[in-house]
Amino acid sequence: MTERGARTENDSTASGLSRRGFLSGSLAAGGLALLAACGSSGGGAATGSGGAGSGGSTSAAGGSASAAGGSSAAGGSSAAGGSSAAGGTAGAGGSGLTMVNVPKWTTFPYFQSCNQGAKKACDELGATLTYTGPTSPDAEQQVATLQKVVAQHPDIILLSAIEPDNVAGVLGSARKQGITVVTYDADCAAQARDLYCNQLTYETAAKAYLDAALMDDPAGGKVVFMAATPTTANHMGQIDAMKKLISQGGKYAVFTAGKTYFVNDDVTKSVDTMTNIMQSDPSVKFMISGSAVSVPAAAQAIETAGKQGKVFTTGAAIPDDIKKYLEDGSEKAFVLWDPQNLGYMAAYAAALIHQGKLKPAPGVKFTAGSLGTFTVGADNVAPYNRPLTFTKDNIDQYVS
Amino acid sequence: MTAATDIRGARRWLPGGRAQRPYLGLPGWNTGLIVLIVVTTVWASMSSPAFLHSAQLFAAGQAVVVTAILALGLAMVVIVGEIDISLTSNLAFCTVLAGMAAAGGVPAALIIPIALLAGVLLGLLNGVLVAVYGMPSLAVTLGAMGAYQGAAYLVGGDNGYTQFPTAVQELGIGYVGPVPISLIAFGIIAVLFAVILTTTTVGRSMYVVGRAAEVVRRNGSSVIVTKLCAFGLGGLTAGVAALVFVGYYGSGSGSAASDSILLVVTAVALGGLDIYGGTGRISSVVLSLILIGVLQDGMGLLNVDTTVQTIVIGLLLIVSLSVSRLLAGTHGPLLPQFLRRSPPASTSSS
Repeated sequence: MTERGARTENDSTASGLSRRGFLSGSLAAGGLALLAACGSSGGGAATGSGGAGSGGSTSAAGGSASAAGGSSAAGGSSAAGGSSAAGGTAGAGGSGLTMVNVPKWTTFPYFQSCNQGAKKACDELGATLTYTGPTSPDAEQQVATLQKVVAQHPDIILLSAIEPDNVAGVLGSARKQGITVVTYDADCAAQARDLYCNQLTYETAAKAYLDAALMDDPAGGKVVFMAATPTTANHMGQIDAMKKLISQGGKYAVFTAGKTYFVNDDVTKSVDTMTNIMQSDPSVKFMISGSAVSVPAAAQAIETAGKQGKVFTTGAAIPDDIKKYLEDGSEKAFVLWDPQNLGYMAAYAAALIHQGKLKPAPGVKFTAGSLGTFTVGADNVAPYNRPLTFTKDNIDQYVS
Repeated sequence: MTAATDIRGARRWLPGGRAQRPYLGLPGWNTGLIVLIVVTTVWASMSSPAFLHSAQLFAAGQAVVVTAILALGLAMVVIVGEIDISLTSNLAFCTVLAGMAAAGGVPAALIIPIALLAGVLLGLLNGVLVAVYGMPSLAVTLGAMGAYQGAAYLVGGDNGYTQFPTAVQELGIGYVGPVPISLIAFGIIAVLFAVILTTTTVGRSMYVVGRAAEVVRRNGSSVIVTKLCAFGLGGLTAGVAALVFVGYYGSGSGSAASDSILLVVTAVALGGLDIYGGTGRISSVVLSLILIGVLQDGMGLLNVDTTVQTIVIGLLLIVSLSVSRLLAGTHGPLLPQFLRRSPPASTSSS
């Protein structure tokens, strides 16, 4: 998992190009020149709508004609044919599917890593992939992004939702147009998507996190939690599962569950909150979070407060962010899953659904390329469910 | 001092020393905006085949209409020479109030006036502190920005509300024919505000108060009433925008629209309104909103990152203000914002 190395390359494909176009354009000649510049660079970055081939997507294009309303008048219904010129720059062979990946925010290495996996699947499938979204986790910006994406009539949208209900409206109109919607990482309202690829079932994640905490200190103690918002499905689901495990006794009986803090996937808020927790409640021993932003931030706060070895944090974290804490011994274990595989799985499943080869329903199995077989569960959730626990002994093989 | 002499006193400081018709903003500003709108529209339709479809354009309008409605309200406040940066927090509070009312089983027919009234009252509260107690509006509304948002979190919790009656949500997601209801609401408010500004006594006194606030600051009751009207109308737009918001996003919470205030201020400034008050037309604000909307839509369709979009809009604002500054240099005394920089007392206090 060497996400960081490949990230720069990935980043320079779509958004990087247009960014350069914009900056140079605007600095050189202001308003008009700026518009001209992004006209040329943006054309390459856009997916257009249909791409070249229309093989796998004919039914969707036909179905969208009525739903698209006004857009059908000027060739919207024949999206595949009409805009093949715009999509021509991308390597569209094979299925000719056009896929757009909308993460919570684009600049986070974790999501860039997911996108690399999705790209790998797209390359195998002959699909084109565009990576776009807000640059900070702003729910309204994500809705605005999705609205623009839907207007481009891609075949497939991959999404990690910031707020499950906010995006439901725009995704509803996407699915009416025949766009396949698959969520990964963070789910949206279940009726607004075809499938959710869950990195870890909440129980698997909860067990892995608590096991990591036991590695930090087998004596256990009071645990507090951090989540992005109270509606962030995966964070909250994991926290509920952890509370359940703790209350069930067994080896997790050494823990007591405390409060949950909402820190919006924000580094500063996470650091401040962790600092306050340590000051106000000396009985807190662990902070566990499914947010890969909050966990390293809490580790930083613990180090700043000089409480290494007394207070611990664990949960989801990106290897590069937590390597130093594992190496200096202040933390013993963190958990993640391979985000590339998650992105690969989501993209592959989405393509299968769009081509009619997979009809998601509880109990249905599907094979996602080289990753193997997965089973769709209740509410059309397909768990990836292969946790990775990072310790001092294995961290080196995961950092760049 | 009576109300009337306040205003008359103010008028003496206007260029020419007599009452004039409301200053309409920089000459040629609207033309400039229209030219830019045409240019950006041509650019957007050439670069993205998805752009020029009525359904897409209406959907794009729907996505910016919350900001747009707030910009109309801010314009009224700016014209009287004040500012209200708490409009987005006011909106957040109204969304939570609407959510709480909905959760309590209040019928849609009551939720709508409740939200509008709350918006007006919060706007007026700012207005009272500013107009009656003479506190600086930037400081007052900065405080209010935090306070209203905090109140929204207190009432709605971190979670906020996600259940609203369909009739309330219609304002945000409903259509009349092909046109979103929210855009119609925006149009109605724009026309209403333009009529108030150009044809009513209150509207005209808004310009007068805005242009000569230093002179008439001393508690003239008409000044207070005028400013309260502006803040109240600003608050009204927050209430309307809140209803649109809960419809479009299906949620109401303290974080609603929290990052929008900069765009609202940008739209007003790009509309050529003098931030020191006394000038500007609603039509300019509408044009500036269309320009921002087209630009954002075009960039969005090309999947340009949101940071770059912010940079572009920011540059557009700086460039346009620089242009106005240049125009100001050539027009000199015609331009009130620079007149008003020098205290009236030192120029013609005889």
